Amino acid sequence: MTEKIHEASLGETINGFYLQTQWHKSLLCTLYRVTHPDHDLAMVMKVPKLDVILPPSAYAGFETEVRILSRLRGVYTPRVVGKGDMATCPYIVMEYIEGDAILQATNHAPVTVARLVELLVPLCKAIHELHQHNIIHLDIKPENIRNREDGQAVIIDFGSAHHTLMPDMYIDSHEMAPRTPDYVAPEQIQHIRNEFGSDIYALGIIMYQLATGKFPFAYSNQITLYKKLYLPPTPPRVYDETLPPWLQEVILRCLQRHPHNRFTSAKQLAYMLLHPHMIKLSRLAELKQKPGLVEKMRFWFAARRDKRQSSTLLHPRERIIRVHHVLVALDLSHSAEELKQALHTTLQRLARSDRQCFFTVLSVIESNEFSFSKGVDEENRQAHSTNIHCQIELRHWMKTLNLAKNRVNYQVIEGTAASEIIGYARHHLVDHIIIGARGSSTLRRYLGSVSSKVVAEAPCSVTVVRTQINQSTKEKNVDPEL
Amino acid sequence: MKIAILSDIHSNLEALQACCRKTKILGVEQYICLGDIVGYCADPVATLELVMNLPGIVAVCGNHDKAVLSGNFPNARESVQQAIVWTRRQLSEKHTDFIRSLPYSLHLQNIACAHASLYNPEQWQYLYQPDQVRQCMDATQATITFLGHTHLPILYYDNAMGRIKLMTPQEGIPVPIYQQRRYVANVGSVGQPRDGNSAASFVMYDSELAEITFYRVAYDFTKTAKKILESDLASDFAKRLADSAWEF
Repeated sequence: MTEKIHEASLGETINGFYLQTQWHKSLLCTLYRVTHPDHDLAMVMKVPKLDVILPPSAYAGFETEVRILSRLRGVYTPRVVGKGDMATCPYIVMEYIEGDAILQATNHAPVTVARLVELLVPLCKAIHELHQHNIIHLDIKPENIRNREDGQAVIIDFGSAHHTLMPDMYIDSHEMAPRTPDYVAPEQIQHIRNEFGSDIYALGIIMYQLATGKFPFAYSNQITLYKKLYLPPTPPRVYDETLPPWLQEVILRCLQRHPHNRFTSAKQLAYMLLHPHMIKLSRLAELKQKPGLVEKMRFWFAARRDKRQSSTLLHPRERIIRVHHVLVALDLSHSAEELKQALHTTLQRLARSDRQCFFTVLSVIESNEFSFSKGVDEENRQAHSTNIHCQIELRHWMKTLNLAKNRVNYQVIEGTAASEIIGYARHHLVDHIIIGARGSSTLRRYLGSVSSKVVAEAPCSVTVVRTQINQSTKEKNVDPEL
Repeated sequence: MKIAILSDIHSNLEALQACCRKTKILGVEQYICLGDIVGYCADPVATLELVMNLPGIVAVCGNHDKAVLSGNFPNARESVQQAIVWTRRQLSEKHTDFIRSLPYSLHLQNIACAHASLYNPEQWQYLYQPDQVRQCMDATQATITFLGHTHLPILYYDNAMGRIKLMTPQEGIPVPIYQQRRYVANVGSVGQPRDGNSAASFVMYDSELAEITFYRVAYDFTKTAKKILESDLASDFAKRLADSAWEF
């Protein structure tokens, strides 16, 4: 097969793509910076290596990458500009993305907690997007993450990825699948490829690296790789006692041996990084010493008991959607009691029927509410006090739902209601918005219909809650004889 | 070109009509039938007429089709044997001539078709084991082989190490086909699915995009079942349409 296939090389022009310079070379492929008269953007061509004796997996990895990238459209993966015939001249031309902020940061680790969060949140969103498409990357590491100018993370190199709805070329040939030992998850060592928690584990390693400048497990050979299965990781606070307990909790939760004990989704991880007060701290948060012999023995026995982990039949998307992030948009000052009650009942039903969903209760204070203030300081003080007052009201309103602390978060934002709600939903990848419809037509005329704008522009499903009392009143107004 | 591959219709007119409605929406231009057009259900004539008039139809024969011609179905249950005799009585010479003209296997560019297997197709073996799939793959140079017979939709492929692996396809999700790999797709059954899903099963192959997509189409099987119960055919055949089970 390889005799017939042409491997593109430097200086050649293939289908209009001129191979200008060699950018990167590895055992399995070569990357060239290319130009094309019809395309202005910076591009890179990936060509699989065919001139050496390589395992069949080398070609399968490239095939997998072409298959996955050709199907994805979006900001989280490089745009595919062209691809060659797999049977005659295999190559793929992708958009070149300059930024490598995470790689740079890991090279200069440790970084501050704020910087860590700033770098990780876009990465979590990118990985969540892949999981939404039932793609498990399985080789997440700083080298495979690029950044756009706006900070958005872009995932590259899908050579060992697995699309759970496609034939997996590495199934039962795991030894052939390219992987990076430092970032590999325990289940990957056990040859499980359909567990998207493996990517969450890799995120944990990257966070560990950024926070401490070290790896939780020192890798030197295949035997030490198995430490991940039988030994607990060294807590990051052993290296830096000043790290906040919540960060250690987050990192160690990502590094749990069993994937089901990690975060349910990368989106959830991003949310926790942005809202550390929502994290329920366990004994993991307070660990400040390397695991002792007893701890190691306990972990080892637990690992022995828990034999090869059975992989789940659920596709990533099916599992992700089980944990619903619900945004409740509440206008405390302008909503009638009946509407608040109706919203409350809706939430009560949802919280009871779906025990895994978590809520953000958002109240937007219209900007003009502060306009009467004179000085900036006075305005800030006014805003701060209104904010606190609102938070107290929201908490009081939600109290009767009896939700666990880590299931509900309160946010008070100043701005224009509809755009703030939509913006929040976009930023935090909210799954469902619940909003009340303003019953009073006078208020609606004055303030505009927030719910209709949210329905029109929201990135997710929206439930608009109405009170039946309002409807009957309206009917009465329309036809007084009734 | 979009090609629909149908198999194991088994005289189920309602299921075939439902599939044709779906293929029309999908813009299918050519049809391939993988045999077992007759047997089990009560509409052999109408089904055959519809199959014979499908655009660009090419077909191979199945074991039930062969049994109808010979009037004998070796190793079959008595009810199946009776169904063969009953079906034979319904058919005219035009229909039997069409069945007689069907080959055991055929090749169209880079695709191959057979009812049970390309390896000794006249033996009607049920492909379950990797060795059997390998034999079938080795019997052709084609990239993808379409089969029926087992009534279970499934996709076999050779992985990075050249080992035979299988995946249960997801309905409506296109699977890319690469020239340098080998695939064997069992398209399932239109008229009598046996995977617990009563919806008719077929596959669409898009030669331009090099993708195959498995589809399931729900249809009114109670109507088909009623026709079976009103004919001289065994009532088990009617029950099986709802159960969609491998065993009775």
